[in-house]
Amino acid sequence: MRKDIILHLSALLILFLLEILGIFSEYHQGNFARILVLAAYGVGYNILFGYTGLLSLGHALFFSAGLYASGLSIYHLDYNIEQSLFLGICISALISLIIGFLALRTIGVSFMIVTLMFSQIAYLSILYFGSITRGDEGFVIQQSSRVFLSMDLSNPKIRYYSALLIFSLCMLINLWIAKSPFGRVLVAIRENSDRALMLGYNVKLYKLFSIIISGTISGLAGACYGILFGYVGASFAAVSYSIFPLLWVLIGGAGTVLGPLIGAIFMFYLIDYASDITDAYMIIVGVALLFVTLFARRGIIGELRFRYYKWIS
Amino acid sequence: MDILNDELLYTENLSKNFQGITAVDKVNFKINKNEIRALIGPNGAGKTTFVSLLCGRIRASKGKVFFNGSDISNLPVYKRISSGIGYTFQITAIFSNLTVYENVALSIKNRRDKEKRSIIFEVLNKVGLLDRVSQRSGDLSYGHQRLLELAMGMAQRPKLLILDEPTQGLSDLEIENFKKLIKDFSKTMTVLLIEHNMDVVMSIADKITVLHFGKIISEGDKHSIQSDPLVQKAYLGDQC
Amino acid sequence: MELGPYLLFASLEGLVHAAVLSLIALGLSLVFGVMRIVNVAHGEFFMLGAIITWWVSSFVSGNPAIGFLLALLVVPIIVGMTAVLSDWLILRHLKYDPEATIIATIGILYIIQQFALMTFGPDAKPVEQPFNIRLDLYWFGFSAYKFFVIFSAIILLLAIWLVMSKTKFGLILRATQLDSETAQAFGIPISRVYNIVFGLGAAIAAVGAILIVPIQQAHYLMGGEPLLLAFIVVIIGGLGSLKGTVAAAILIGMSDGIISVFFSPNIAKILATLLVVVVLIIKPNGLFGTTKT
Repeated sequence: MRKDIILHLSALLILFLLEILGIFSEYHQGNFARILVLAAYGVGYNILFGYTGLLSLGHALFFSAGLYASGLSIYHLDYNIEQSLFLGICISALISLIIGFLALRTIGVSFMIVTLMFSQIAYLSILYFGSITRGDEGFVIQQSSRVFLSMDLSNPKIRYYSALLIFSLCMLINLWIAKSPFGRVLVAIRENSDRALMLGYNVKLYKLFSIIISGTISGLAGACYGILFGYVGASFAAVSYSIFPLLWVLIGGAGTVLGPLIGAIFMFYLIDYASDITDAYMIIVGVALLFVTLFARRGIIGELRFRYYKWIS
Repeated sequence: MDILNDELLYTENLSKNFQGITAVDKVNFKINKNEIRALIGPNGAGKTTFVSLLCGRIRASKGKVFFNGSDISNLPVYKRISSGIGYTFQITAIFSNLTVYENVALSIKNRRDKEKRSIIFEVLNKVGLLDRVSQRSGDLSYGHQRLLELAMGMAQRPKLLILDEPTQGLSDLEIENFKKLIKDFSKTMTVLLIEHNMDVVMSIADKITVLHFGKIISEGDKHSIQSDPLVQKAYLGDQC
Repeated sequence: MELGPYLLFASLEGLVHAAVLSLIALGLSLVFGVMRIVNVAHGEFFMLGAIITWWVSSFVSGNPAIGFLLALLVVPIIVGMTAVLSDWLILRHLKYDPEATIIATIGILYIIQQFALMTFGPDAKPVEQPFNIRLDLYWFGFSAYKFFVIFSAIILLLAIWLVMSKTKFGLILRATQLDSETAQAFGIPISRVYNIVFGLGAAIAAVGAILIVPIQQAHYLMGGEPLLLAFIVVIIGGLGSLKGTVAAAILIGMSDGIISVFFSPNIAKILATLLVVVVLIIKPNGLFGTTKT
C-alpha cells in the first residue's frame, strides 16, 4: 500500500527534478511538456478502457471538446484562462454525459463503432462550421491571451510546470479511484459485468460515471493543450487522436496508473524519430498496434505487475 | 389462505416466451421463509430461465413476482438484488484478477469498513478459504472457486439465495461439505436450489418443485415427489 | 437547370454512390456476419483496390478499356490475397477476440495506408474511363460509364446472392454464420472458411474501388469516408442480411449523393450518422445483432 504511493509520488518527483535541476535540453523540455498533457489525456482514456473495460474509439471527441470549448471562448469571446478552462471542463463533462447515455445503449463491438462514429460527427462538424472553427487550418491563441495569474504560459519553464501540475492532478485522481471502492466496482465490471450486476451494482450507472470522469479528464487535457501550446486545429479531432491514447495505454499497461505516461513517452519519441526518416511515419503506429495485440497484451507496467510487483496500482 | 403470512416470494402466472417457444408457462410458485427448496426437472425444463425471471436477468413476458410483500416485477436487476435476492451462476463467475478478499468485499455494500472486514472473515472462515484470503482468485482450484462464489452469496446477506447448480463438477467430498454449508445457511436465509444431483436434493431440501416444459408438474416433500408418476414419466421420457 | 432535372441529376449521382457503397458495405457485412469481427481496415482494402487499379492501368497504353479489364482481373486477387495474408499472419493468432481484432485491424489500417503513401506518394491519381460516351438525357448529359457502374454493381450483387443461396459454398458460409462450433463439428474447416471470407470481403470492396476510380481518382486517404458510410449502412440495414444491406446502401448512398449535391458532403455525413443515433435510440439491440464481447 505505502510502497505503491511512494512509487507514484517519486515518479512525479523525478519529473519535477528533471526540470528544476536543468537536466532537460530545451528540445526535450518542450517535448516533455507536450507528453505530460497528452499523458493526462491517456489517464482519462485509461479510466474507461483500462479500469472499466470499455473500448472507445472516439475519445478525440472529448479531447477536442475541451480544446475547442476553451480555445474558441478565448479566440472569439476574449475569455480569460480561468473562464475558458472552466468552460472546457463543463462542456466536455456535458458531452461525455450525452455520448455516454447514448453509446451505453450498446455493448461490445457496437460500443466501439458507435463511439468512433460520434467522434466522426464532431470532426466533420468542426470542418463544416469552418467560419467559426477555422476548419482544417485551425487558429492560434495569441501569447497575450495565454496569461494566468500574471504568469506567461508560453514561457517554456512555466509551461512545463503547468503541464506537470495537470498531469499530477489527473494521475492522483486515477490513483485515488484505483484504490477506492468505486474503482473496485469498475474493475469488477471489466472482469465480469454480468456478475457485477448480480451482486446488485447498477452497472450502467457505473459505466456512465466512468465515461463522464474519463471524458472530463480528456477534455481538461484538451483545454490545457490548447492553452499551453497556443494552437487549436481539426487534426486533434481526427480518428488518429482517438487511437493515440489507446496505443499509449496498451503499451504502458491498461489499468495501471503509470501506464499512459510510459506509453506516451515511448510513442512520442518513436514517432518523433520516425518522422525524420519518412513522411509515412504513422506506419509506426500501425506496427506498434499489431505488436502489442500479438505479443504484449499486458503492456510494460502491466507485465511488471504481473511478474514481479503485484502491489503496483 | 394462510393467516400467517410467512411466504417470502411468490409468482403469479409468470411466463416467458422466446420467439414463439414458451420457456416458462404461467407458473404460480411460492417459497416460505427459511425453507430450503429444490427446483428440479429434466434438461431444458426452464429452471434457469425461471430463476432468471425471479432476479430480473430476463424480463418476463407476462405475470408478476412478489418478494417480501411487494411487487418487484418492474424493478431492474440491481434493485431486486439490493432488496435481498442473491444469485450464484451456474458457471463459475468470479473476478479472477482480484483477490479472494476483494471478491467477497465486492458483494458487501453500504457497510462500514470494520463491519465489512468482520463479515468477510466470517464467511471465508465458514467456507474454509480463510487461509487463501489474499490469493488471486483466478489461481484457486475449481472447487475452491465454487466455494468462493458461495461465500460471496453469503456475504450479501440476502433474504433469498438462489443457487444454480452449485455442486456441478465437484468431488463427493466437496459435495458433502457443500450440503453442510447450505444447511447452515438456511438458519439465516431462504435457499432456492437448482440441482441435478438427486442425492443432494433428497438429503437437504425441505420441499421439491418439479418443472417440466416450463410448467410445475409436481410439488411436495421427497416422498411424494419420488412416488409421483408424472415426475417419473417426465424423467424417463427425457431419457428415451 | 430547373429543380426537377437537377434533382434527377443528383439522384443519378446518388445511385452511382449507392452502387459502390453497397459493394463496400456488403464486404464488411459478410466478414462480420460469418467471422463476427469488425474489420476497421476495410476502407483501406478499398483504397488499395483503387490505387492498384491506377498502377495497373498505367502500364497499359492505348485503349483505357484494356487497362480497366486487366484491373478487373488482377486487382481483386491482389487485394484479396493481402487480406488473406493479414488474416493468416495476424487475426488468426488473436483467436478473433473482438477487442484484440478491432485494435489489430486499426494497425493494419495504418500500415496499408502508410504503405500506399510511401510507395505511390501523396498525390491523387486519375484513371481514364474505359469508354467515354456521354448520353444526352434531354436536360443534361450523363456519362454512360456511370450507368455501367450501376449496372455492374447490380450484376455483382445478384451473383453474390446466387452464390450465397444456391451453392454449397454459400451453404457453408451460412452454416458458419449461424453456429461456427456446430459447423466445425460437421467437418467444415472453419479457419479456412474464415481465411477465404476475409479475402472475399476485401476483394468485393476492391471491385467497388475499380468501378469508382475512373470517376473519383485514387488517393491514399480515400478509405476513411467509405468505411464510415459502410458502418452506417450495416447498422441501419442489419447484419447478415443481403437485402437489408443493399436497401440501406441505396438509402444512404442516394441521400448522401443528393445532399452532397445540394448542400455539402460533410452535412450529408453528419446527417447519416445522426440517423444511426436515432436507430440506436429506437432499437438498441438492432446493432450488429446481439453479440456480446
